[in-house]
Amino acid sequence: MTTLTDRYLAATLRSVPAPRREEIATELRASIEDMIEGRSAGGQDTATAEREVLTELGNPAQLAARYADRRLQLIGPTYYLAWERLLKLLLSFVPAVVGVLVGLVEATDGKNPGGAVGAGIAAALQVVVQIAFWVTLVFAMIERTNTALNLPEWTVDQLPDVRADRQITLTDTAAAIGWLVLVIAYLPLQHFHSFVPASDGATCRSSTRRCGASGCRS
Amino acid sequence: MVSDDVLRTHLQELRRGTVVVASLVALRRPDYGYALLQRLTDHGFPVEANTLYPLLRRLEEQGLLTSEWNTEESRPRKFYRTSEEGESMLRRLLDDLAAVQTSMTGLIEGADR
Repeated sequence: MTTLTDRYLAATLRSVPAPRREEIATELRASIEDMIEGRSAGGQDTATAEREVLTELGNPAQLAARYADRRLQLIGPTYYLAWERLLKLLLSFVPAVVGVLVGLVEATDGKNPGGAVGAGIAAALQVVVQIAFWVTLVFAMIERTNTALNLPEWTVDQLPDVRADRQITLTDTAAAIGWLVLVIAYLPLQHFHSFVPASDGATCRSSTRRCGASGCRS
Repeated sequence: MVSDDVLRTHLQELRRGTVVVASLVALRRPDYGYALLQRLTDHGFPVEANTLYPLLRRLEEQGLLTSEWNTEESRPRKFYRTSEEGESMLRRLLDDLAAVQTSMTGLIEGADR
């Protein structure tokens, strides 16, 4: 019959490096039995003592991490700032560029020019998720393997200029460019698709052929 | 009034390093995990079992402790003992602990005036 202690040991050893597993198992079992004995000597029944001892030792995964000297974090302080900077840099322009390109391609030679804006936004969102996932995965692996990145040390020369009269942040710039690109993208797009309902002939701006397709009877 | 959480965090920070020093001192006399835990607790160094057991292994890997299995008793126990390397590092640590105490005393006396 497996006892709680057996199950606790199995759960702990699952994530401890294999070569040391056997030794840690023997030692930890003896320690747990010592602790249970210490408590039952005080008049407690063994089953309660066992429960209390294992509760005191805490989550087996956490104990195993301590044995393996493994940090319980995805990205630690060593790499966090580099991760954050790279992520912000990539997210500031890549999704917008991809979104606009996809939108333009869809608008100029797609069969459904009306869906161009939607397709562009969908592509941009997908790129956001992809970038966030891959950058984080790579950094998590660097953290796990403790790879040295050899990043240049911070120096005072890196301090950004502060000008009181004209402060334009990267976000402002990115937003301004993003809007500009969207407006420009709208210009070719409107040739292919009217955003005004085509039920009234007078408001139909598209060519007759396309109007016919969308039900315009001018 | 400082909240209990803040106080506990600072006390924990203050005590963290002393567990290693206390263990190295205590293990000048060889002992196994649970007995060491009891001895440290009795001498005013309360330490969690899930901190101490992995710590002993880490100190052993760093060469500061040596170990030996004792299979004569009812269950096999791993006895740790402070190694020569551990002893020389311990002396440095104890010196530093005394230096901290001296500096603190000086600072307190200086601030009083």
